Amino acid sequence: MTSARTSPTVVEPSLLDIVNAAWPWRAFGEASAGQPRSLTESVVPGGKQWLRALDPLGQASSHATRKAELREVGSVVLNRSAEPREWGHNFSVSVSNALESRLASFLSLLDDWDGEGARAIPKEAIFLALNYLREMLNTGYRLPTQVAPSPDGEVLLYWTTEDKYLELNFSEDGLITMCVHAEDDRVDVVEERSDVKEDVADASIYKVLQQHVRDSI
Amino acid sequence: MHQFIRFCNNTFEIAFSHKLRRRCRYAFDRREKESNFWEWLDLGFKSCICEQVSVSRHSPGKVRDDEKLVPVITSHSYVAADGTLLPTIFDQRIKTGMSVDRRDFTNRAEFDERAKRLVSENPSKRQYLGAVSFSAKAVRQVFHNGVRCFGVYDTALSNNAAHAEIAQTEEPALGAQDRKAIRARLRKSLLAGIDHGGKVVSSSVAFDG
Repeated sequence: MTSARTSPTVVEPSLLDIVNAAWPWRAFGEASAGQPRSLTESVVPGGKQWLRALDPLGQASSHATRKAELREVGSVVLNRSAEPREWGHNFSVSVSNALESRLASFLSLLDDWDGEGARAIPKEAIFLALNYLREMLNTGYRLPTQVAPSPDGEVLLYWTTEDKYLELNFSEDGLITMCVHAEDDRVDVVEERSDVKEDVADASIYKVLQQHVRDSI
Repeated sequence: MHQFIRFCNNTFEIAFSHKLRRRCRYAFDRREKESNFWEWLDLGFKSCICEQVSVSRHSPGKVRDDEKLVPVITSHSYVAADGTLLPTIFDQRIKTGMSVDRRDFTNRAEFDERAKRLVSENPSKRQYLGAVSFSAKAVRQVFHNGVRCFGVYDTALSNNAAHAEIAQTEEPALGAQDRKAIRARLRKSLLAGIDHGGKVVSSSVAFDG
């Protein structure tokens, strides 16, 4: 009597799986945040050790993650936030303005990006600044003269004329600081804590900013 | 009588200046030993008083207000698409002393050589993009609540007589908002004070143009 033996199912990993395993998986935007992080381990046993050997400091992995996030910026505007609502690979870049594009590129600035020990620019600060910039674009507001990354890990938007100066700083913890250089050489500082999901138009600091830009810049 | 008073004043100033120079040089010689040098310096020498004398024995003299200071620019992230220097470049480095060259006491070839050496220390992160120039006055004119905020010192080195440093004075009583206001004042002053329309230029333009 012969017994029917069922052979175990063997799933051959595809070429893409192998490539994903040998390289930081988020670099290809294939995995969403909901997928297990042990994807590398499940496809190639000991994959994490391979990764560590390839990239001992994890810099390439970190850089690839930031680049993936950069590609995702601009995919969701429904909740009035630049922060992506969900992670995925079917994103599109909708950067409509040079300043916006420049601001989004700060996501690629990792620790020591200036070679002098600068802090990485946190994505929370970038998304917050993008929200403000988009609100200005949507309302036909006077746009900032420039946007700049700060070595302290902040994002700066500033307006300048021959004798006037106004700046808006965004930090990781949601703190927005506005400094206005008044005519009598006084500097007014206004601070407000905000969340990326909040409607920019409702923020009191945005109303003060609007007034200053309209009146003095 | 007037002549006698003037003579006394001059004698007093010379004597005071010699004493101050000796004290300041002694303080700057201790630089390697103090972990937070600029804070320590400010405890003993308020209101950037050491600017009034030459603090290095290698220096050609104290930094005048109208002298041009030339820092090297080594990061693309501090340069806007139109070539304008972004003012955040001064944020961090000024806290620990920002190195600049005094244009009157060096030349393009020496500057280029030093810039290349600086880049070679961290070639993956730094790139020699050019320079900007601004007067020492643009930094010294920054006051907050009537107090000077930044000093420019002639910290010449044995291999670079043109070396100078910009440093922030430390006011422990200041709160976070005051510090942000000072930072904004400096950014505004430098944006207005940088030559060549605030743009990063090649060393040939910065020195010869």
